[in-house]
Amino acid sequence: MIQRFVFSCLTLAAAASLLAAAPAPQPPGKLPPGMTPALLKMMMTLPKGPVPSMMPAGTVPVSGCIPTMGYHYAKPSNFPFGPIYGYYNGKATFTEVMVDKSLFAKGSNWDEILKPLPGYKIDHVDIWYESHGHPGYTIPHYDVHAWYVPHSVHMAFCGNTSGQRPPYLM
Amino acid sequence: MNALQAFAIALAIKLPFGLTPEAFKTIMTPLKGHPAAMPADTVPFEGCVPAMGYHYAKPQDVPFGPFYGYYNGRAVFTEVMIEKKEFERGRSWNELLKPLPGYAIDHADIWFEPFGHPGYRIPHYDLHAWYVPHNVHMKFCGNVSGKRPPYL
Repeated sequence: MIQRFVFSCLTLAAAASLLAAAPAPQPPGKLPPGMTPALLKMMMTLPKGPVPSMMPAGTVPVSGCIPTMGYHYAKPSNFPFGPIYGYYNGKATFTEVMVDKSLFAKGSNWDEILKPLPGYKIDHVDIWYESHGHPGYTIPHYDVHAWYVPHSVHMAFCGNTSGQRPPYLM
Repeated sequence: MNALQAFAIALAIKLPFGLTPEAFKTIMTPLKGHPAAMPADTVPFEGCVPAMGYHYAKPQDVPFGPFYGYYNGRAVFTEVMIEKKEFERGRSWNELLKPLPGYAIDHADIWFEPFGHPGYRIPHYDLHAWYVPHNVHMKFCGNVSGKRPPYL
């Protein structure tokens, strides 16, 4: 996951150079594999307007539209571990935690690490390893998503027509 | 298994901390008969594990899972057991945990088992997607303290 993309100075700088009306096209520079300037812009554009009503009090948007995932909301005090909550097309879509790989290597325990938001049911859990982390959380870690929608549904979120996990989310 | 057999096995394998021969017998004695709430092609693994209940799985899915939990006439969890090395290596799993039809996941617990346990004796993680509240399953199988037993 790439939430908080927007809060990375490096990413902002990269985006500024990519999105500015530069006379000559810039090389993609240090964009992760498979990332395009258009995707980057979508992922960095925070949703406008009030926080959706089903999001817990105190949460704020922490990402734009992340392909295969949607929008992310969290309480700033809970970042980066979580819980982080997903939103797409008028519905809450997941509960997520991000677990530092070194915590698994150390041997850690968590009770009630993932719970659905009221009125939602967990359809399935995905665990994705982010080998290099991502801007905003740049250490090797695991994204653990408890999804409220079927896998094939969220894999197409944010225009991800292939339904495949993008290389920049690996 | 009778009490004498349980005691003999307990002596032979050196019981983990806090595990009495009586608790060991409870853990090692599967239910008789197949609960209707468990998928038809699953078989029992172990008996009543304190804080967890009874475990069922398809033989070909052991040890990773999915395992399904049973207690008091209903299904109570979906579980996978992931070797610690797999997390150190960096792995991804899609649709790792799904509830059985007709059940809803209340919460997920992740427990590290540094020495493993009967049935899977290597350092690993138990990932349980529970269909009941935490304070309910913590008392399963006579675990009156509601605390995680030291041998788990």
